[in-house]
Amino acid sequence: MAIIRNLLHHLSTLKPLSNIIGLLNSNGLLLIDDKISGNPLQGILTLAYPLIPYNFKMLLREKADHIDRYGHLPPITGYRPKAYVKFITQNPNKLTIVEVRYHGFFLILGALEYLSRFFPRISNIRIPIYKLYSLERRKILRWSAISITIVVERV
Amino acid sequence: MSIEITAFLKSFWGYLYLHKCTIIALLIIGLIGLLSVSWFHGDYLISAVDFSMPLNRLRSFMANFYGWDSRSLGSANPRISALTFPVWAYFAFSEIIGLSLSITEKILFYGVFTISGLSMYYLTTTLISNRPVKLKRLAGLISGIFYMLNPYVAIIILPLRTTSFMIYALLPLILAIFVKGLNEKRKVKFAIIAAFVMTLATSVYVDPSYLPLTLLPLLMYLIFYILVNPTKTTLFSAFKFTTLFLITWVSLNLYWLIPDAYFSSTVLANVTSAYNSVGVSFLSAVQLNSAPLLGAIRLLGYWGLNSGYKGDAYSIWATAYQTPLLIIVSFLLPFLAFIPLLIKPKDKHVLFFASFAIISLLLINGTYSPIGNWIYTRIPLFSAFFSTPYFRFGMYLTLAYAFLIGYALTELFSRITCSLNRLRRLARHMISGAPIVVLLFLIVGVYAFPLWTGDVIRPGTQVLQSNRYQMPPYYQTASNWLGTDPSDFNILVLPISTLGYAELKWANGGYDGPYPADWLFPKAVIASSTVGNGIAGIAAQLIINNQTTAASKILALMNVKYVLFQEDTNWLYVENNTSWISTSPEQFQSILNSSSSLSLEKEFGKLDFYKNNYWQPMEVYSASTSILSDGNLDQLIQIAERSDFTPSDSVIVLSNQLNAQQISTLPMNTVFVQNQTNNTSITYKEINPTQYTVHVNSSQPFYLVFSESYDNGWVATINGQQIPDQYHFTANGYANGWYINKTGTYTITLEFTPQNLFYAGATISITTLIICTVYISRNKMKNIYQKYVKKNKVSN
Repeated sequence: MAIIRNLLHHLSTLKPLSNIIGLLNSNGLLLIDDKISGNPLQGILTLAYPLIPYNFKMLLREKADHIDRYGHLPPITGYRPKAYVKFITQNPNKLTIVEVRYHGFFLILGALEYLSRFFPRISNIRIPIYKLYSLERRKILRWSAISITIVVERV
Repeated sequence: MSIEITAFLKSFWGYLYLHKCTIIALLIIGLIGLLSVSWFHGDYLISAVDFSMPLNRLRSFMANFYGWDSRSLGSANPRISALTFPVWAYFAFSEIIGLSLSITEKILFYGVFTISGLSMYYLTTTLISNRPVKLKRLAGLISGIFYMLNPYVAIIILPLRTTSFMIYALLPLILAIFVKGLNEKRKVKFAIIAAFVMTLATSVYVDPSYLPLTLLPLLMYLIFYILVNPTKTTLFSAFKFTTLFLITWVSLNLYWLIPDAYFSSTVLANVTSAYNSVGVSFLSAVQLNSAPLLGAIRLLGYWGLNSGYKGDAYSIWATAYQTPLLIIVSFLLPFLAFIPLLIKPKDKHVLFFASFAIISLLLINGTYSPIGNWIYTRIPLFSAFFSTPYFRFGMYLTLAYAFLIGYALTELFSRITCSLNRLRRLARHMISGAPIVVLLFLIVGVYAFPLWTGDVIRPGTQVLQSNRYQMPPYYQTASNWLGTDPSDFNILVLPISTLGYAELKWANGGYDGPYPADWLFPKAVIASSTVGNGIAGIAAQLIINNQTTAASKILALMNVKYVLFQEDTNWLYVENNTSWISTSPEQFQSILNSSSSLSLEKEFGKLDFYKNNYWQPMEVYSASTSILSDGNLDQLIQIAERSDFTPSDSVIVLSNQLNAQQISTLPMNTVFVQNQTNNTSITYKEINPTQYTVHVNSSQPFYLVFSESYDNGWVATINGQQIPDQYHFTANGYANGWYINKTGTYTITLEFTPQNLFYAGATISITTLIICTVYISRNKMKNIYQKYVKKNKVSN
């Protein structure tokens, strides 16, 4: 079993993924959990990130070590869910997509999770998390997800 | 009484209501001005490359009245007189009334930042005459806000030179009053007002290149005005107003103009040598500071934006300008600025500012374009005066953009409003105002984001220090300790930079700027290696080479009692920097601690004071023997290396620093002679930095040495009789030396004669100020006099 988490969106191409797929045994599982593009709020935040004060970036850096000492984020290429699916289905090794799930509904869950690192009391607030998660399953609201989990099995 | 109060309140309310648009606009600009206070992050002070607030404000203010800058080894510095008013006068006033340094600097920043918006508001509302009052005010407000919040301010004005912000802030006001004066009948009054306003920016003329920079837009408008109104009467009246304005301004400013003019060639030579010392020529500086057209039209293109030092960017926010959002927003500026040219091409002010913007672009573009290249290479002194095209002419472009963008957005608002006639007033205004608010948000909110986030004042990174600083208390303790020593001496700072800058690492940041304790320490600090014809650098290099005995003797010749080792130096910055004479801190400490000629006297926090064991009080001293050495400063090192050389016994004279007449006239020893009996005793008194009296009791002719940098402006007189010029020479490689061929008891006066130019200029300036004030207030004075006469008649 291989797990790739929060990595692919930092790559300019998905080709390294095929190397990992090549390592899978027959009936081996691959779990991809990564960021996706398409959420407009996320797009706006990414655009606005360079405009936030340097001191705040340094504060974020204490929690998120992928921010460099100048406050820059590493290059990000958000792939659309379709790009992942297409890559997997077109792979020369025979693969089956077992499950696809979307996360981070409207960024709220992601933001809450992130904020709770700085303000632990936030996690004490009663939020109908499961109701929000269930909303993610609705196809019409999928654009609001910020990450995707795909479980793939090698035939 | 209550009726009177009610009546007053009514009339006051009526006044407010009548001018509500103006008041709202001014309040908005005033509120935006408060943004500057947030840049301080509490009680920090802000320093920059060329500007740092003097920590002893009153002392530095008083020093501005003298053409001889007694800091370091002294130098003729007529330019500092210009600093006196208004900035240094404000500093002195703030100290007198007990304002803290932080509050003083905050008020300065708030004042200058807000004045820039207000003066642009005034210019726009003055020039847009053919529009309804509300639209005029709206255009003024937009112009004012844009002029305050734009990348040019973020790139150049704030982080680099706060004093140059003065001219940035006042230029629109000067131009507005000049324009008003051209159209007014009361020429004399407006000429005086315009001269007064321009005088408010005097501190910036410490860099004289700002003077032509201030006058150029006025000249351009004058030419434009004559071209638009080509009649004899207009020509005559414009000429009359301009002449009156110039005469008044020149007369008001003669106190610094005369000394500046007198020293102009020396100052130019000093600037050239400062450029050369860091390996830069004027033309290479122009090439570096020219901005490509595509950058310049978006108020970007400054080299420093994409540059840094040892991996740290100079402007940590600059990379954001390469993101798609800001690239799109950046093109809004030229788009909005040149739209008025398409929709109102016949408006004369649109035409003027559009032409002004194009000329500014050409000048900012510098050597990138053939015309610019021709201007900078062929026009004499153009590259010397304006070696930083983006820096100098970006101000013009921002001014032109501010007017044109204000005009464009107002026009847009007006056109949308007209097209929505059928809607109700509120809805109409909301719909037509929405695009204006969005556009304004993009160009002043998003595009000028470093001013909003406070990153415009550079936060400290690993290598580069923050522009915010809090001086550690041990500096004050060291200053108090130095103050207890009554003798006159100098302090050499280690490591030492070429241009007198300091890079220090302190808790909560650090410091980057001119040496910070320059005005704080009661003794002169030598922080530049070029001081004393470069002897300071030679001594520092000798210490690094572990030749501390020779170094100490040379330092004694420079009247250096202490070598101050700055442990708090930002070593990462200084290491391998060609503008610094330095080695590792461990190496420094090892050399200094093992030296027999330098001994650790006192430690204050991270300041280590090493006493020079060869030091004797040598600010003014007499020597019975002279050593004439054939050659240059290298000879000084050779003499200092001799074990039998005692610095205070003799004066060293280098042949290449004398003229032929002096070599033949002065009685010099061409072989090394020491330990001759000195039968001269002297005492001296400093009257002011430009005048000393020396009481002499001597039974033989002797050499008098005044250990401040040689300048032929220094004159020695005995009972009013000047010592001939051939007897005044460069002593010890840098100082003033005189051969005194007189015995007995008498007094010698040492005087820096160009100071008299300041006195003469100041007399004319003060007289002009009185005459102008009387002229402007003559009607009020008449009224007061008439009221007084009436009162007397009634009482009689």
